[in-house]
Amino acid sequence: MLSVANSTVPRVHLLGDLKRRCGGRKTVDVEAETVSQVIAALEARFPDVRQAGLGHMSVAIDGEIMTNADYVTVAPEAEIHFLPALSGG
Amino acid sequence: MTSTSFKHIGQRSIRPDGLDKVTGKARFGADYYLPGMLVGVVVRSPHPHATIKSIDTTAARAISGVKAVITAQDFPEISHEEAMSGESVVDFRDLSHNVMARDKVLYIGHPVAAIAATSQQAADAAAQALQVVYEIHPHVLNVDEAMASDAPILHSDLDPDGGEPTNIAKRHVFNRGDTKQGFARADVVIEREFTTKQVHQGYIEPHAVVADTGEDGRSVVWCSSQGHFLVRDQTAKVLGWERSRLKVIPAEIGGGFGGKTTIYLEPLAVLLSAKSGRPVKMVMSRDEVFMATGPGPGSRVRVKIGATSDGKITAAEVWMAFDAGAFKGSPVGAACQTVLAPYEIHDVSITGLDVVINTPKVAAYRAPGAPIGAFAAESVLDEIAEALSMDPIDLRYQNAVEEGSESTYGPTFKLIGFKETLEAIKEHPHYKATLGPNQGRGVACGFWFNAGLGSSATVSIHEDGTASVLTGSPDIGGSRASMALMAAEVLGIDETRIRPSIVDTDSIGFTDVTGGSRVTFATGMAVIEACGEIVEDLRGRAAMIWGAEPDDVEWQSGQAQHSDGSKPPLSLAEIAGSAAKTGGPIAATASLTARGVGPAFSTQVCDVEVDPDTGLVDILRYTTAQDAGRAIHPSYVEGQMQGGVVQGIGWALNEEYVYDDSGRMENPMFLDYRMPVASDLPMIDTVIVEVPNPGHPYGVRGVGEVGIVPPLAAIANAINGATDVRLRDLPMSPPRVVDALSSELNGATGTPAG
Amino acid sequence: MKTHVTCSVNGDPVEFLVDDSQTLLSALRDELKLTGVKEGCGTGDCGACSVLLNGELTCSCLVFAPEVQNSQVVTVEGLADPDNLHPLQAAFLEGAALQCGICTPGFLVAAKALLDRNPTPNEKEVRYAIAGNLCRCTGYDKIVRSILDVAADLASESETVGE
Repeated sequence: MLSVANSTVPRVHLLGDLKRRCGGRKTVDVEAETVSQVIAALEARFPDVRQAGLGHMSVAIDGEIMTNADYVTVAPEAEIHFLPALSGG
Repeated sequence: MTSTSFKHIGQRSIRPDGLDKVTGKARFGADYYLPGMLVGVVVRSPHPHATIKSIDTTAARAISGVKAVITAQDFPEISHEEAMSGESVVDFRDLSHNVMARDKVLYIGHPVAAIAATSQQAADAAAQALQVVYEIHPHVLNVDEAMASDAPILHSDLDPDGGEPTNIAKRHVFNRGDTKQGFARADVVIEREFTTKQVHQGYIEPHAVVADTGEDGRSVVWCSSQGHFLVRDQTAKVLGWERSRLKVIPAEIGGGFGGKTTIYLEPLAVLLSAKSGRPVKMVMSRDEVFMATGPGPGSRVRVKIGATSDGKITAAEVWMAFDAGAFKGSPVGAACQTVLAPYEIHDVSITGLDVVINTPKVAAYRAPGAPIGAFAAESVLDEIAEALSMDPIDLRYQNAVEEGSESTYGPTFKLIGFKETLEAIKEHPHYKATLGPNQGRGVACGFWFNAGLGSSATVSIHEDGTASVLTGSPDIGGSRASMALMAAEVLGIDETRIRPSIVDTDSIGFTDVTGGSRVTFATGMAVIEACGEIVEDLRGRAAMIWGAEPDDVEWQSGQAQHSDGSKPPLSLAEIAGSAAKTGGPIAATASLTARGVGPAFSTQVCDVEVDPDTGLVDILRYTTAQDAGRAIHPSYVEGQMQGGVVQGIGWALNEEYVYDDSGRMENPMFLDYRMPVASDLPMIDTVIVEVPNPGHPYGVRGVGEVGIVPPLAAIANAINGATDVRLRDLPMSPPRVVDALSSELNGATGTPAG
Repeated sequence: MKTHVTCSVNGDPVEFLVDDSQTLLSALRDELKLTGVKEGCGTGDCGACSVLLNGELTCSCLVFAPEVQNSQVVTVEGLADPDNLHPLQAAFLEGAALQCGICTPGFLVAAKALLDRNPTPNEKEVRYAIAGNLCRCTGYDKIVRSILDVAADLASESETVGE
């Protein structure tokens, strides 16, 4: 369980479309222990986020970009970015 | 940062598949012949944009020797469903409609039917006899036409802004900070516009497939691709089949560069085989490859960058429109994220538009999107350096990202080797060499993410102490050699005792495509993990033989050693020879999603000589420095660096899709689609920088893609150095160069000399 | 109506039946199953189908099969002798002069044609001799170096013999 007492929780950084869907916020702090919980928390707080399709996006946790990261653990101090999924040659 | 602590990694071993490839024995996609095999052909649209009113197959079927004719009616209609496939999001409805047009044709070459017959002649005659009635619509061939207010609309369901349908499929926006304030702090602001044309990946092997459907309704497919699991899964999806009905056997692949990360012929061959009950072989001709498989996108790009007089970049704005071809999904999103990624810039605004047009659907092409963005951004940076009278490498170095820098696309970089590549070029003798008349030097940099994704490996130790390493990653550039070297490093045996193979979809766990520069990194990780398990197993068996505890056994130099030295070492071969007595066969499998991807950077310098009369640009000298993390097999790392550069040279100087007004590609052959040949080029010097990726056991980053990112701008900058003229439209072919030089003489365009 | 063709391929007498419109490339691949000869374009632009026809470097896609009656054809399959690779094949392996390998047979045949007539080419001569062969993977660097390595070995061998 997260320690609510020290109030350190993962922070989602928002750019562009996602920022707009979150009321213009640059960052949102969410109580979550996995990426899927991060998404659920964002969608619960900002219903417009549901149309953004976060489940299909890549996620960067502390600078490391991943796909299929739903159950990857996010540390309490994690910095999270969602990025469009990419193609590579 | 040397590889001296390794025994096998870093060696230039002979590639395991090499002998078959220099003797002609290696079997590529078109090299399979089965008894009773039919010839399959595709009937393609002659119109760039039309509704299919009717298709009458009666006359085609009546031709002697014709065994099956299929159209979209033989495929299930599938709904829009976006899913990760390979490295990118694929809409299976679009994929299905690209494989076989259903209601509309969207480009010349779009398949409308496929035919299998006992001979090429019969198949061709049937294709001629097929009756298709079209209702022709106006077409659009580039992003400008497609975004015009009166443009014909390709798809009725694309409306990113929630209004009327448009040809803009998606709008990507990345804004950080406040660019207005950023530009206000700048002493120099330069804004320029660039265009690029569609280019083809240009693999020498055309797409080829053989499909054989058995009485049980299951199909075996031989084909060359960058991922046979992707072929299986996408084909199954398009056919509405269960995946286990398909077994895909990977042929050797004759180049891909991203273009073989999708399907074209495979579902047609499978369905023709299922209908005819015979094996069916389909091979594209070169003009089919050009006209119906993925080029990379054409584009229009605007870049505005501001900097202080001492060379600190204060703000940047980028607007990019990429064509996607007939269906949504250009790499403009990746271009948005990579365009400024080498630099620390806090006030950034980047917009990218994905635009559909009446040409073949674009496919991935080596660092998709990134070269186009870099062409624009690195050209503008060069102008800023010129305006500030700064060395172009110093300008870049001053703004370069390093560990801890916040990237323009959001996340913070871990350990990266960008600055080291800049240093490598600055210190290289090339950078100090003198230039002659009409000669110029250009510098540019590039970034690519690289990919992780899913990989599997199975390692077996045989009784005689040799080993097999099975993976599901098609080997395009020598990756089997890298797998053997990494396995040798873990197991401690010579790599010549290890046979690496790429096996079919029924014989190994799922593995994502050979793309995103991921194979040595990710599939290598699976090989390392499986070999690690084998070593644990071997230690346990040695302990059993010695009556010791596994913890008393160390694995060194391919043998078990007792930690107190009380027993003579047991070699891998000795342990393997008695495997039956110590627990049975020795094998291990690893399947994983590779985490810890390390991005790649490249810095390149190029010298050109421009013939002012003919406009011919001669590449005199070229040097590329790239952070490989760790070079497992340096020769093939160099090969990737050199190959990427030369593809970039072709893109910069000559390659382009030329369409006539009717939407037909005018140059669908290598004579007119001019790829670089040996006599166009100098040697390509390489500097492998090794800043190990902390996310990989041996420090590997991907090396395949980033090399193609800098050349377009490096060459444009070099041409400016030679002529004081900046070219901003690709390709910089002789006519374009002559035009630019003559308009400069007339004072019509161009920038003041710095 | 098919034509009966008799010729020599890689030193062996062969015969096959072909349509008059069939190319030598098709005869080699589809009739004789010498699939080391590759088709990259079918228009003589890529060199993947290169063979030696009576000793001359030839795109086999540009020759009609009936034309090779009584001719000598050498393909990549005929470069090595039973015990040894041709020095070019060994050099390509040693020098990592191939990546995907689809163009390799054509380059080997073109390089052999060069060294047969000019055993001591300089870099420029090598580059022009293989300019009819497309490689999309390597940027040609390691191909050119490997051919020059073989030429250098040939030169030092002939010097040794000369002494």
